[in-house]
Amino acid sequence: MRMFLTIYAFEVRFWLKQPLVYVFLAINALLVFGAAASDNVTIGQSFDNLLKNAPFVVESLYAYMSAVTFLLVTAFVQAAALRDFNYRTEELIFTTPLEKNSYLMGRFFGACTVALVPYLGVTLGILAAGFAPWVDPVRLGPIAWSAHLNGFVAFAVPNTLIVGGVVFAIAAITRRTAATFVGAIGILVAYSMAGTLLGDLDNERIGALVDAFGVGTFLNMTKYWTVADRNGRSLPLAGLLLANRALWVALALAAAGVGLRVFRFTLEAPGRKRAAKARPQEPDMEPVPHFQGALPKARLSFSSGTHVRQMLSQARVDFFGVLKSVPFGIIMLIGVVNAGFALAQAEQFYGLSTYPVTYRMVDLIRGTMYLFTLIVLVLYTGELVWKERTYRLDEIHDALPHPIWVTAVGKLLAMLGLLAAIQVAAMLMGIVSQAAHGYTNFEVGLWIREMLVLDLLGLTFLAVLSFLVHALVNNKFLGYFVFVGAVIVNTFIWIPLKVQAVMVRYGDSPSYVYSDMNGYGPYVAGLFWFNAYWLAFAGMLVVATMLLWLRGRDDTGKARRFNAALRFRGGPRWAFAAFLLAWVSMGGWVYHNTQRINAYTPTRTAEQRQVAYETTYKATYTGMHQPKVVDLRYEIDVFPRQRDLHARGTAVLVNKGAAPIDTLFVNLQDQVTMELEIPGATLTREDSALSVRFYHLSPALPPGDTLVMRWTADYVTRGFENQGRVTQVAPNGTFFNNGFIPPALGYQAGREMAGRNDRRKQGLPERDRMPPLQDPCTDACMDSYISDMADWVTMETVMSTSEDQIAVAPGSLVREWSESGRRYFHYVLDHPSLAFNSFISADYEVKREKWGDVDVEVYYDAKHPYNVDKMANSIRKSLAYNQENFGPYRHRQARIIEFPRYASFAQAFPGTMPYSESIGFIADIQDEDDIDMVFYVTAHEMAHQWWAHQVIGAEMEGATILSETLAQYSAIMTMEREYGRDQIFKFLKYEMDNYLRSRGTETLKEKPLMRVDASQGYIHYRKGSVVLYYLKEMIGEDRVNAALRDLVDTFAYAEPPYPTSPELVNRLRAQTPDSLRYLITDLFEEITLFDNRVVEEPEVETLEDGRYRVTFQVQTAKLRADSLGVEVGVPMNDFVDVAVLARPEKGKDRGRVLAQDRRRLTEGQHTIELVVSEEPWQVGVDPSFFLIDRIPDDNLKRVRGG
Amino acid sequence: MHLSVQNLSKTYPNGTQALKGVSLEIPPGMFGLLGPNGAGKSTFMRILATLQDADGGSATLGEVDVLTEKEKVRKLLGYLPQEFGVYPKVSAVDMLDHLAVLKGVGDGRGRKELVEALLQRVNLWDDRKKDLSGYSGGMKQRFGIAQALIGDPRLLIVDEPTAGLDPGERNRFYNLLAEIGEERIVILSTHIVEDVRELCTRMAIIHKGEVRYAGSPDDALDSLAGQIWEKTVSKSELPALDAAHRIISTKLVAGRPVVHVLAEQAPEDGFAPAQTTLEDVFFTRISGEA
Repeated sequence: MRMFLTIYAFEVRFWLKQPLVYVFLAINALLVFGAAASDNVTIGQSFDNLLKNAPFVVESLYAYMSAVTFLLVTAFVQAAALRDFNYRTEELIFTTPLEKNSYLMGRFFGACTVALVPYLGVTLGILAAGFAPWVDPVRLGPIAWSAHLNGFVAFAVPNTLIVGGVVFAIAAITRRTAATFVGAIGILVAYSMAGTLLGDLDNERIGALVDAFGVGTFLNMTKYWTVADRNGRSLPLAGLLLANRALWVALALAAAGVGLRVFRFTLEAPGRKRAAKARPQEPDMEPVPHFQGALPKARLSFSSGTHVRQMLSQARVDFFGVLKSVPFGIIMLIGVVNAGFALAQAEQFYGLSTYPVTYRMVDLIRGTMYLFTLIVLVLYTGELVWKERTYRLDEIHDALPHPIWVTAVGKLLAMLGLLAAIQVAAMLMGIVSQAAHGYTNFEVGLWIREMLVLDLLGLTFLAVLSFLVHALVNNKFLGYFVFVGAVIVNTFIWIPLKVQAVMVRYGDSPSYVYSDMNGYGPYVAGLFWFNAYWLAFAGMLVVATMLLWLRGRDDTGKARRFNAALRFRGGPRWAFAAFLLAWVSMGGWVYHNTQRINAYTPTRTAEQRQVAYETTYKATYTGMHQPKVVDLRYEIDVFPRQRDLHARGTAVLVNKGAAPIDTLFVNLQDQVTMELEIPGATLTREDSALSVRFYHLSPALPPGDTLVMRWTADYVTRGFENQGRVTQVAPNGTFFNNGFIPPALGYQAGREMAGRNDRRKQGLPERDRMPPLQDPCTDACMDSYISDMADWVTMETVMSTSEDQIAVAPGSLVREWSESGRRYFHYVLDHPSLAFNSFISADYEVKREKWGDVDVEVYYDAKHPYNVDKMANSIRKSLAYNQENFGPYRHRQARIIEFPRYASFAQAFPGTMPYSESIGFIADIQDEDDIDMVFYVTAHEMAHQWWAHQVIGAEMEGATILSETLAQYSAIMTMEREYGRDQIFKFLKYEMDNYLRSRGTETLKEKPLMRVDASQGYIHYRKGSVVLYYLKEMIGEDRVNAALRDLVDTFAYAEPPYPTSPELVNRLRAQTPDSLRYLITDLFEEITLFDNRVVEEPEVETLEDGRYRVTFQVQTAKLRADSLGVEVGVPMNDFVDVAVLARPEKGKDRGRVLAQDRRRLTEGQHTIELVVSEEPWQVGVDPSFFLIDRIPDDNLKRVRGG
Repeated sequence: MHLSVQNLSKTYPNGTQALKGVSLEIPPGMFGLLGPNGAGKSTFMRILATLQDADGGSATLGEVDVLTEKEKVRKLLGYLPQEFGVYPKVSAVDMLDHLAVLKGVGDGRGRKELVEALLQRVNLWDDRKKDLSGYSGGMKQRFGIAQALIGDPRLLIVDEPTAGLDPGERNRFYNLLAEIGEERIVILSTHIVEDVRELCTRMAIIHKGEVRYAGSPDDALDSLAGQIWEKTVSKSELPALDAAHRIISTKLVAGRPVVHVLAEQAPEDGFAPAQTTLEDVFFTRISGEA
């Protein structure tokens, strides 16, 4: 023990003298300070809605920083374990009378102890953030010491021991530094796999245990925490977290124990064969005749052909050198396993997968494999630069008569060859995995463009930079540090600095989205020129690398300058000049295209415009009365190949108010060039900076009178852009809506700055997202929340496009013709509708069906036929359910139209539902148990044809309950009819989970359903689903539908005032029996939660008649939450189901209900007794999860031995 | 071809003056560079091998300026550094082939013949396909010789080539050197005096960055002929002797010190004339006065 303490103390003192400890301490402190004191730096997740130093934030940062300190622990522990080998002092140490266990354990615990020091950086960073002058004091709470303690105890200490233990074991067994780092990477992979497992709901508990760092466990356990929880408390080391930590610490210490046992005080690593055996035998000492005689004369050649051969020889030797090295193999193996794991598990959405289309597979490989590719890049560029010196071949190598570029370029080529090989391997893996999924559309060309052109170019730029850094810095470890630092800076610094010009970000090119429909579409030219520009720049860097490359032994600045000057003659000088010329001229071209002819608005200017718009116009013009559109005519010409658009429009406006109108407030659209003509109106003021125009009407437009507005909008593509902004006009898949071309009338609140913190920075007042609910409501309810420009409009469109494409606009197609090589389509809307229109043009396949007199049509890309029938089916079933219950469908067609994945949503326009290629069209629904997401989304959008397109809420809180929540209800009912109740329970479980999670990340305040804001999707969709289904369970489908039908009868296509949420809630209340009316309050008017659970194990008694009496205890509580999630208990006397379930059938999650009873329960503990005739397996309170329960999982409990 | 070095000097950043104005004329043939550890031999040779830059002075190889025309020097150079290693997991034949390519042996078939001949020459033929990192010190050194001989260099620099070789290997190596040293410049550095005696026609003694002697070994011996005396003494006598005479060296013979002293006349007290060796010259030259 004394020896242990001596060695431990020595080890601690040793490390405390190492600058590395303090470097990491400083890095951690800075990182955490940045994350805590600024909204621009994010570690792990964004905490925008919480106090800067909320206990949850504090503990999270300790958890997340485990990943950062990870490498440090590895470095410390392996260095402690291997120090004697690395410094070749093993023969000295192992011959002393040291006791092995004390020696090793002293070192291990010493290194681990000091490895905790950098965690103090987390502490310091958070504490320091409290003093940062720019941090709003409103966002600081009291110092959460207990959270610091919990973070330290639950994450810092265990994670250090876990990583340290494993690394120690590997180090003790292999005695190799490289192997221990590889082992460390293995831990990271296990970690990322746990993350993937956690994604699937059923695996959460397993995932929580598998997560070696406990971060996932922590997030899982806190997932339903509300804002108040997160600001108020931290998670103690208990329960699942304790189990996880104990499990992993035990495993790691066991591993360390194995290492300890295996470790011997001998010179050979255990299990490694004596190296000498492999040695060639020494030749005998005989005189050697071979020394006699002349050598063949070899002709030396120093031509450029020779130089190329030399370069290739260098490249080959280095390429195979890396390929044969063990760490490379292991890193790649881990990378491949990691990527393979992800490729095998396709992306999940409602627990179901999508077809492995190539761009998705590429994305998956990027997300999983690239980390390892980058590790190889970083590690082996350094290795290659230092290879000759590492293996002490440098003197021979450097004195050979090859020009230095042979070495520099040869090694670069070796690296690029490796990277290409990795990319090819990953590509093959992706293709094999596509085949394994049964997907046979192998787009080899696309694979090559993505992985061997675009990504390899990006990697090339990094490799070139890395070589330069290593040549320049001339210190291997500092070189790694500088390069990684430079890459991090280049990646993250530009956004906070608000530098948008891509041409100053090294190696960067405009971000692009590949679409199956549209290929690289609008991005091709930009990608080409930016990459060419950076290639020329990289060429200059290569020349610089060559000049700086150390040859020989003199590494003084003077000697290196001297040698660089000697080298910068002839070829290199010309090469540099050529690259410089290419770079400058391409730079000029890129500048011309991205900064001149396609000048963009800098972020700062855009923000200033938002501020100016609000401060200039809001006070005066909000609610100013403007005429409303009643009729729209469009003539639109799309030129897909050129990406040009020319549109002309005529709008008929009516003064629907009581007073004459003498001023028009017109907002022009920014993305197009507009001309505007209003007969009888004079332009009185033009604010071109804000794209606002004022027109004076003389005489003023009297109530009921009409006005015509004509406009043209042109979008012409020229050259390429800094970042492709306008994706609406595309070679195949033009898709835009009424927000893109026509001018808007009146003050547009949508143009205000939205971000809460951005507004605060700009000194703007906080804004309510929607006006507060008024009931009753007339004057404030004259505009719908979709549009303040129109109520119900008639519409006609003539749209032309290229000959191979189909153009689709709202309404029935009345005529189609060809003229001078273009196709024309004339559409007329069948019924006046919301002024919410989409226009689309692409090369489509069309599936056409009839349902009654409605044309059911799906316009899709030939590559995506998979779910077309499902979509058509869902449309038919939706038409059936909704017409049956909520009245007639008013259009003569119901269309789904695929559009490129520049956006990934489906949206309902009158009679038309554009649907992104990335969601429903490639969903892979094979398993019968899967939720049919395609059917669901289609049913939801179809339901909007009633809920939104017939009944639309006023611009006011609660409006979306009338559209989104009711659309969810209709969709669920349509789905239930098609797939049955079990599917719905599964669906609702996801909805409930989503709601409970999302409310914890609410950035402003949670509102009751009845006052939901349009931006609170988690309430109007997710909670809405759960609530309405539960209400339907309690009062019956007929009553719910009667209320909804009445809503349609009263408000469908009705002129303003528009309905508000009480119109729905009151109708539902009227349908609800008195005994259940409390539900209306709980579900719609308040935020109500339950905390129901089964406590203790159920008792089962076998009765004489062979039946079973099951007795169990349930605990119930009812809570009301305020907008921040602060929950208080309220008295309860509610109906709650209690049940006994049978053993689940194979493959099912839950068994049949053996007995169920709906009881009125008060808060507190209750004894439940149920008699069943089959063997009980599980008991439950609210077993179907109808009630919104803070922790749904504990509602069920297994019967002992069951 | 003739190598001429004038006033070559080199100071390291830490202040160590490795070379202080070294001037040497080196004609074709074997040239021995003798000096104790740290004398500046390796620095001198690395400068000639283009691996380091001199602070001052000049060096010309025929018409070539060694200090600035490094590319030209390298084309004429064969170099075996004092210490070297090889890439891991590469066989002797592959490594030698790669080095031959870098040396400028472009022609594929010619290169193959050369590489094979070299491997036979240094007796590594049987082990040519084995991993170089598994070679013993002697084998590795032979590989080093083979690579230095690629391309028939006009200037061959070998730095402490026999360190780590056993006596048999050393002999073989010297035979080889002697053979090729006839028509080119071979600079051999060593701190083993006998090596020079056996091999070199000319030599230089370097100490503390200065040339202490340059000329032929025979002249060096002649310069001390008849001035070296030896005596076997006991340890306790040494301090007294040291005060009285200029002791060049003290060696143990069968456990008893034998001192060599430098004196014009035979010292009294039982000194006997000794056969002058190059070692005596060496110690004389490096002990203070030049």
